[in-house]
Amino acid sequence: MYNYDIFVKELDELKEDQEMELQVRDLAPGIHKYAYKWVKAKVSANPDTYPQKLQIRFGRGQAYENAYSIQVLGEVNKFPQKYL
Amino acid sequence: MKYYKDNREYIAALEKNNDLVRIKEEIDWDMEAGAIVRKVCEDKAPSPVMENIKDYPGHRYFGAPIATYPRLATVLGLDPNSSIPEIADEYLKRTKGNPPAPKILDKSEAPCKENIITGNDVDLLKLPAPMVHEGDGGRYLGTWHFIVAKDPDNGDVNWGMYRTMVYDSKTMVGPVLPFSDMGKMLHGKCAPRGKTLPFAMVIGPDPISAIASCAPSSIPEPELAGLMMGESVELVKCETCDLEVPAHAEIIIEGEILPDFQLDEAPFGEYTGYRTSPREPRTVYRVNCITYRNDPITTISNMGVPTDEGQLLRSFSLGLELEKLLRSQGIPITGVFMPPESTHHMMVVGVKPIYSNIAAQIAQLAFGSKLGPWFHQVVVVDDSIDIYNYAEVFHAFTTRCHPKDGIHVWDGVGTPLNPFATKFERTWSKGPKVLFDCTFPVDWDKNDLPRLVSFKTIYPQDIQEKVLARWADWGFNRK
Ligand SMILES: Cc1cc2nc3c(=O)[nH]c(=O)nc-3n(C[C@H](O)[C@H](O)[C@H](O)COP(=O)(O)O)c2cc1C
Repeated sequence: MYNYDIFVKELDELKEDQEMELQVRDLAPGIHKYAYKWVKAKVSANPDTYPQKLQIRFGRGQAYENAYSIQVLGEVNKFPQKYL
Repeated sequence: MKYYKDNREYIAALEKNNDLVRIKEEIDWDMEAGAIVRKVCEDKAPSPVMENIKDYPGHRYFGAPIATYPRLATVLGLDPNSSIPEIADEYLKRTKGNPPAPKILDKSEAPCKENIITGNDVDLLKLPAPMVHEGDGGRYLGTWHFIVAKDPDNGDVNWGMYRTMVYDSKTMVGPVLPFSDMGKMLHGKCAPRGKTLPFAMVIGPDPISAIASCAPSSIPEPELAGLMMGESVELVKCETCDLEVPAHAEIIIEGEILPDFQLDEAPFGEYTGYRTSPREPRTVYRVNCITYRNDPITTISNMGVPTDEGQLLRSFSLGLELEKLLRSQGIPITGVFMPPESTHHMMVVGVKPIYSNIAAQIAQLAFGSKLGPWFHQVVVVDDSIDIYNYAEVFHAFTTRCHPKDGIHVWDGVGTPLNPFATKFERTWSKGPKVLFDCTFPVDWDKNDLPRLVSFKTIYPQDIQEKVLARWADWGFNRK
């Protein structure tokens, strides 16, 4: 049911309704599940604000019980150009 | 000398020993395979071979490859019921002598070259990296594998087992601890010069090469593997870099380790039985070639509560290396045993206590050695105790270790994986160390020494024999 998940140390790293650069994992079933990508996105603690569901996980893998929502606005490349 | 050239031969041997279960039903790579391997480890059940992996037709898994002593005995060509000292003797026998140089095979003779993928076609997600535990930071392709790298200055080759998480189609990430051999190459030589370090990751290595890669031996691992096999290990040249890999391995991933760019890795279930080390920026592997055998078999070790192969083998080989170290210093030890259940945190040493503070000398040598970061408890018992007998060691520990004078604490080097360590200690690889001296002080009057009250020590030989001779007749079980 979740589309993406994200690891955070603290919930307040996620600034609601502001465009942020985030490192998320794609949870779509299939061989690409759990692959990481950097995206520009907006998130909300309200699970219905944005079209897709975001699962929050903390540093030791614990899942936060409340669903967030997310709108992915595009992918961002963080890899140094020399290694691409 | 008996050995298995690849996991296929080894799997056949385990099957013959009734120590293997083939699962033909479809198994999900997403936690289900991990759960199977975890339960196998906790139950000491036979190794599973999973022949039908969801989303990955043609691929197979081999779980918990060396998670028990009977499997380790099998790898070393022994009867699976051999005792730990018998396995240790064989291991020591096989690690002595002149190591043979590796033999380089032609590509046409190397099964790991049956399929070669380079350039844009490289996609790590086409390999069935399992999601080993719920909540892990990602899918781990490197759980029972090793990484080959060459020192940029002196050309020394290192094989080391350093876990790797799949980040995306072309990238893996994992911890390479600064005091490991590859850590020294990477952090000490490549990073300051801004130079990448070519690597090859070997998935599904034959069992002896796997053991060599995680053994704390001073012999270079390809030679150590040959020494343990009794003949040269067969290698083949990589496609895209100046490295050689075991020709009979299942999957090879080639690429470069980046000196100046890190990505977040973890959490991951670790050998201590916890998810401890924090998610943080770690070493990045960029991939540019994958080669593999037909119907490749990915090895899975599932680290968690004891016993998995990391705990078993590292306890075993660390214990033996420490034994060699103490013997080389002329200390009159009876042996060293690291119980795998301690996740190689406890070193039990038996010694003839012929002078004062011999236990402190043992602990200082052990903690001060290259292996010191991996354990933090040394328990020294006298030569009357069987170090492999948990009940005897525990009894000695609880009765002979003086709570003030018998416990000695020092600072030392630790790992970020220590569950007991503070955040500061984990970050800076600091590790407190403790010695439990369970020997009676040699300066005590011999006549004042507490006398062990046991059947074997308190009764005259003739009484013992008389009782034992009639024991079974009275209806007791003979033991
Ligand atoms: C299953 C397993 C996973 C391991 N993962 C890591 C790791 O991620 N990073 C690390 O530095 N050492 C890891 N180790 C420990 C090294 O393999 C070990 O220190 C080995 O001896 C490498 O030795 P070297 O650095 O002395 O060559 C692991 C060991 C095992 C058995």
